[in-house]
Amino acid sequence: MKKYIKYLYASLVIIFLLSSCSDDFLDRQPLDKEVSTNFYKTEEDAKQALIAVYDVLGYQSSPGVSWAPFQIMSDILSDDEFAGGSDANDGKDEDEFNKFDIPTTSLIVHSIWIKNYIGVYRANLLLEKIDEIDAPDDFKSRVIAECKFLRAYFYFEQVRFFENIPLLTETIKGPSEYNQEQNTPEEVYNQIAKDLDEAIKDLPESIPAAEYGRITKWAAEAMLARVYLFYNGVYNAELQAGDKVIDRAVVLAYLEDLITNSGHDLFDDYNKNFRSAYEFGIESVFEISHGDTPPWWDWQYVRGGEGNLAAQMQGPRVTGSDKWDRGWSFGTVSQKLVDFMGTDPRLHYTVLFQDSIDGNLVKGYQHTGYFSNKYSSDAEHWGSGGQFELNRTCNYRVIRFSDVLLMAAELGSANAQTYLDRVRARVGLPSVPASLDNIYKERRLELSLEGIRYFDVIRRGMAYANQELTSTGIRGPNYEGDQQIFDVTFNSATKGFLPIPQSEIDLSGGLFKQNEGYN
Amino acid sequence: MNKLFYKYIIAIILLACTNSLLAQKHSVTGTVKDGAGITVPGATVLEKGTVNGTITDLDGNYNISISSSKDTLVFSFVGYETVEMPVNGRSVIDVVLKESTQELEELVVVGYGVQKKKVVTGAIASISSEDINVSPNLRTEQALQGRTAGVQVTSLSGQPGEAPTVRIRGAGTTGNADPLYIVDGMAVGGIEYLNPGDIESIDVLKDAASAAIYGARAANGVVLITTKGGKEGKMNLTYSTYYGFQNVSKKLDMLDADQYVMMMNEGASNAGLSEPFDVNEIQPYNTNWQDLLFQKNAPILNHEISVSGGNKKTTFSTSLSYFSQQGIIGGDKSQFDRITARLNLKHKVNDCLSFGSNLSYSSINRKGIASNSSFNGAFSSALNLDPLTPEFEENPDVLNTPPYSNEPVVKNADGKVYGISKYVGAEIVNPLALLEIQTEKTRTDKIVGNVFGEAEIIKGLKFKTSLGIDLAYVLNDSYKPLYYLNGAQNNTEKTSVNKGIDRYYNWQWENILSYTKKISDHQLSFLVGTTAKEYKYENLTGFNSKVSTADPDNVYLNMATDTMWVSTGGAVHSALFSTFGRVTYDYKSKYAFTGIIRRDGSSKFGPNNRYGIFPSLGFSWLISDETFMPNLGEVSFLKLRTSWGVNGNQEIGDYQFVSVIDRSRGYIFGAGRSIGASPQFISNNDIRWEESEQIDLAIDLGAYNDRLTATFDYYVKTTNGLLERIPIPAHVGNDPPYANVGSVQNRGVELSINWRNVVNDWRYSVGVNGSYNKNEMTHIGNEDKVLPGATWAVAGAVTRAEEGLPIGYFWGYKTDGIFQNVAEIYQHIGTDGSLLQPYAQPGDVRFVDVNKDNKLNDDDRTMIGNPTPDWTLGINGSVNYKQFDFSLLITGAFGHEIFNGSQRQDLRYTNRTTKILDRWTGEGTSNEIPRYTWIDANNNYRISDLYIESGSFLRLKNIQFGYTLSENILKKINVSMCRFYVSVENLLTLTKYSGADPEIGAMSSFDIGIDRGIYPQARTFRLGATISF
Repeated sequence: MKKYIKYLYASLVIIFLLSSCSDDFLDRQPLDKEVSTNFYKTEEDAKQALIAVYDVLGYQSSPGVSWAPFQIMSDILSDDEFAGGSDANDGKDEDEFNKFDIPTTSLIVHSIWIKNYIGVYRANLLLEKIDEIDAPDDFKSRVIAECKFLRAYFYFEQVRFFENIPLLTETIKGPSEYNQEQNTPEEVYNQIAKDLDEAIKDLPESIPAAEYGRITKWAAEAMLARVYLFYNGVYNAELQAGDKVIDRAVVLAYLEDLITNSGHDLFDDYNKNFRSAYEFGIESVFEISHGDTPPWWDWQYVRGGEGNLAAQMQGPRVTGSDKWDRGWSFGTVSQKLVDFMGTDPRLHYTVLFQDSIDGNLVKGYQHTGYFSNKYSSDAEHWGSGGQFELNRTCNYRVIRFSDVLLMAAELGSANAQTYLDRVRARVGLPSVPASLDNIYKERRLELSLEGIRYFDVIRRGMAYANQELTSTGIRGPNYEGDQQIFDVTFNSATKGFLPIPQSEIDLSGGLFKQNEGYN
Repeated sequence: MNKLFYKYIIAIILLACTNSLLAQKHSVTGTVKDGAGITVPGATVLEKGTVNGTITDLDGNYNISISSSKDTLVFSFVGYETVEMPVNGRSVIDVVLKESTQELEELVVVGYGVQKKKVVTGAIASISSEDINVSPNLRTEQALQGRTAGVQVTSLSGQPGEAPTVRIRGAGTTGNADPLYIVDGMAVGGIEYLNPGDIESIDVLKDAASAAIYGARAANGVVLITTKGGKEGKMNLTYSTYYGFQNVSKKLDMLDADQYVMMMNEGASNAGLSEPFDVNEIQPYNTNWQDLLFQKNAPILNHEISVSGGNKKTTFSTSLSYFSQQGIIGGDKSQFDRITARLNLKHKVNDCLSFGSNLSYSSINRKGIASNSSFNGAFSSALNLDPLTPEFEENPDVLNTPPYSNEPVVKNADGKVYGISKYVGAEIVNPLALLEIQTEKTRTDKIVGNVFGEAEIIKGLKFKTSLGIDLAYVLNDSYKPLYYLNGAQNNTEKTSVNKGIDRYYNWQWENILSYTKKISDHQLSFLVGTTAKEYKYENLTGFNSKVSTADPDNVYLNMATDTMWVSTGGAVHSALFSTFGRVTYDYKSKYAFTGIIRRDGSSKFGPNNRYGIFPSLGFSWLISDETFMPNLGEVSFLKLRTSWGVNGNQEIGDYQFVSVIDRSRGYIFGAGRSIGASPQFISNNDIRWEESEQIDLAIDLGAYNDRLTATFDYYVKTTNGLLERIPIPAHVGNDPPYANVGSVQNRGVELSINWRNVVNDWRYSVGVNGSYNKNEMTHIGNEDKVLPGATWAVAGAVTRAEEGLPIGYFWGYKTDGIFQNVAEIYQHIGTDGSLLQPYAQPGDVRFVDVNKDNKLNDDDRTMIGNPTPDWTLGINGSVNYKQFDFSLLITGAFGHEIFNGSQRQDLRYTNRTTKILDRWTGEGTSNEIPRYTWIDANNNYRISDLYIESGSFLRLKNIQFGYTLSENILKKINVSMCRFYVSVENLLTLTKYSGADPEIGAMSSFDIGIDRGIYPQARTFRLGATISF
């Protein structure tokens, strides 16, 4: 009998052993982070989600890919800057941009592509989640408007560089949706126009100082004009925002509204546009912020920091100077621009001459003797902590009021002459007739090395682009190295667009087509 | 409810056990001798079927009281065959023990139990404490090196305390390929906390069938470590110690000052630049940075006391050890100190119930420097810094000029100022100054322990419960002083301090019920069990600047005065719940079968795939016992084994199946930076374990009375569903999720042969083990069939994985010699006549248009090398003659390549090895090394096979002489054993590899064999002694 009792106990033990452990024991959610299923509830959640969209504005690199700040890369494409860098290999990818010999595997190209779709994704996600958030309607409508503006901004950068891109206005829900087809440029531009037009209605007119940097109605109006000018120039068509046609008159009306009602104005001193003390100043219609908080160290994840990488890249390669910190001498400025500006009073605020640099200057690749003076590793923009290269603090002024005046003039404002005169008078220059030609000239004098020139050339057609962007045999007195390293031939077969990144084509399941001029 | 129930069960079990101790009444004495007539001290004499026993004294005599004169005595001793002797009323029994190499009768730890080696159906390699301690190891992993076929142990670098790379049957995953370590039944994260002297045995479960009992974590193999327990009998006290000197074994030949000046001038003039040096000027310095960097006679020492013993009821083993090692680079800046304490206890309540515990505490203090880095490695700097810079700048004129006069330049303890190069910049700095400012240290306090109870409910039916914890606190410290190493490497504004504390805690509760039954010739056993395991991690870090201190070793956050506080803290938890079972059956040991099934539930996966099932089967056939077998001559033992099994790998981060909100986003508005939040990556609810399926076919052989033993294994191991963040289209807009997307296959053979023999006073053994493994990615589930890999310096990707090729293969351009003249450049054209390398000049490298697309571009990169050896080899031998012993261990690896990236060709003015003197200088001068130029339009040093070298090597890992005092002397000093030895590690390395050390482990699955200026392994001379009382 005793024996059987033992068996009984034994089987009890077995039953105990095999008693299934409850699923609760294995259900582990993150302890120190939320998950998307329990986030997106409160107003604060929505704010943070919105800031994550803004975050992408500051991205100038993608981990493991490359540094690709918008401003310097578009100016290297233009005839205002060369690639530069320490030597031919240092700036190999940049040199390919400079020479219009861009491989489809270019890491810079991929970096740009990645950045804009991150921005689009975050904007789309918040637009999908905003309904679930418990917040007042006016809060929601403003968040929606900001998301639309930002989505339009990212799409504009993307379509302006790549032309043939997939247009996504919702997040992708699963692997079955990964493969997308490219949309026509028309579809993308019309979506941009629609987003901006809708955003204008719900965006605020003024922003308290603590929130400087948030999007205003004026930024959206100006952005729509920039989009219009490029689209209309390249495709010779009007934009369609849903049912609404966005034509010259509509755009001009927005600009006049901005000029009249926004309170934006020109600085008395042109140079203030690039000085630390005047960030988010009266002339800035849309400005992307950079800074040194948190102090950033991580070379492997550069975009986690907030520094302006373009400033580091364009800074002169100098040590032992009190005025300029150790830059990398990319984007050396062309003699062509210096010649074009001639005696223009803006020249010295635009271009840094090597003679005015103290300390020990190391001459790098494509040394011209000129550097950008607008976004540079100058003393006032040194970060106060972290790895110095990653913490340059200068904000990027995307749209300045002078650009708005010139756009309005170009679009045929009744006040075109006044607007052009205002821009010139600010730097002490006399009036010239507000002809298209003079307006174009003024744009380059006023806005060079701000990431604008290249697209101003492209939108005027391939013949003009060939004429402007091809430059051979031009050599300044301080150039170092063979002439051939400075000679550039524009490749109009590409229509000025970048190649679709090869790896994206490879991942597209055969749906993506490469842009013309690349194979 | 459960708890109460469980208490009740325990109480019942206690009551159910009966006390079987009986009175003893018959006495037997005698002497135990070996075959040569020499007495055997310490042999065990046991009354059969009881725990009543004794051991022989120093003269081999014993005296035992037994319960009946009809009982049987069992005589046993390590290395001898066990003898059973019926007493038959005798009171004096002398016994001769036959010397045995009966390895095949040994027991093997198989996971939740032991098995006779004879009936083991899987591929399990065992290493005994004798093997482990033949040469004292610094780390436990080293005990595996060169001793077991199919287990490849590669040092990551020569830095003290750095964990070597252990791969069992190749890398079966692109994720974490480290094996699972089980110490006394506890799964532990790493084994650096163990004192190798505490280890009784290591058993490696190599095949999937054996490892299946550990299910979801076993795909990389399982290493079972058993620590020493006490033995009944006389108390034993042992003290061991060694002291050693470590020195560098190989320095590289670098250019001296004259050669350097000549080369730099050449580089500049080839680039059309003015020559930087006047060759007529005598350079004031000719610094050999390696001579300055390497410590001479860096110390290594170990003290260890262990006490063990016990009586019939209670046995114990306890030990205390102290180990300290300084590095050959950096001395006390690269130091590993470890204190361990251990107590293993076992108490028998009665014949059926016992309790025990294994408790250990370790304290590890570690200071480390970058050991294989292009960017801040001291050795990398020593190889790349020019010889013209002095160690110390002592010229007052120079010291009065910038940067010395106006920057916080680094000084040594005597106030001497370290020289700063005027030429080389970027990450290349004075390596001694770099060491001077290193302050990183890690202090770990770790407790690993378990308590267990075991009950034999009825004969053969055993229940064991075991509760274990593994708790570690890790303190990380670093202090950043003001320093100026060069224009790029400096911190001139604020000192800062960074502190962090991590708490790792996991507990495990296991319950196992096992039953064994012998019915005539049929031996049957069952085992079922459950394991619950929970893992918790929490950390806290703080950072602040402006620290006021003079002592970099004692810096605390409270000393920082800046207002910019940074603090972070987080936590992670995970859990595992498993049930498992095993059946074994054998008939006369001739036919043996093992079947295992384990079901694991893991919190790492979502509800869709939370549970996984891992089965295995194994058979063995002792063919030599078959009557139909013809006489095999000297072959006495021949066994065929085969097994099949499935294991899992779940080593990814936690919560990968959910969409985690990441708050590292941010944007600066007018008032400062605001925190943003968005999903960290795309989520994938469907991820599941990597599944590794393996078959094993093997032959075990014994011959010449088992003096010769051999094992041959053939295996195919296929891992499916590799967990990778596979590239997805960027327009998805977020980082990709983990997905089960790839397959990898490892196929190989393993052979080990051992011979041991005793001839008169000579006892010797020779073992050779070798293995061949072929690794191949068989599937990658994305469009381009590629996974990106490791990067090197500023050049970008150097390794990757691709379908049909080994994991982490080196990827770059193929070269085809050097252009000797302009004509050759113009002849290097595509089929359409286009010039492939328009920027090339004579003396530049000719690259191959691999894909024949008439363009030379990134698409021409191809496989240029494989970092994983085809063959690994271990040879160990030992000879004992009277009081003398000698042993050696040779390890080798063959058929793989190393990426020699220790030189920074991308920077001007960096120093070079003297190999560059053989560069191309004109037609016919070299077809291997391109011209030296500072402007390299041809990009000669893009990633290509120029960096690739054979990594094959054969290394005399250890050689040792020992002397054991004779018994006559021992008796006089009342000591039971005393041995002295001298050993040398890494005495000799045969390799064609030109870098400092061919042994370069895996920094990650894709980062193997990349030499970025690796911290080489030391050549170590050690003197040691062991004394037992």
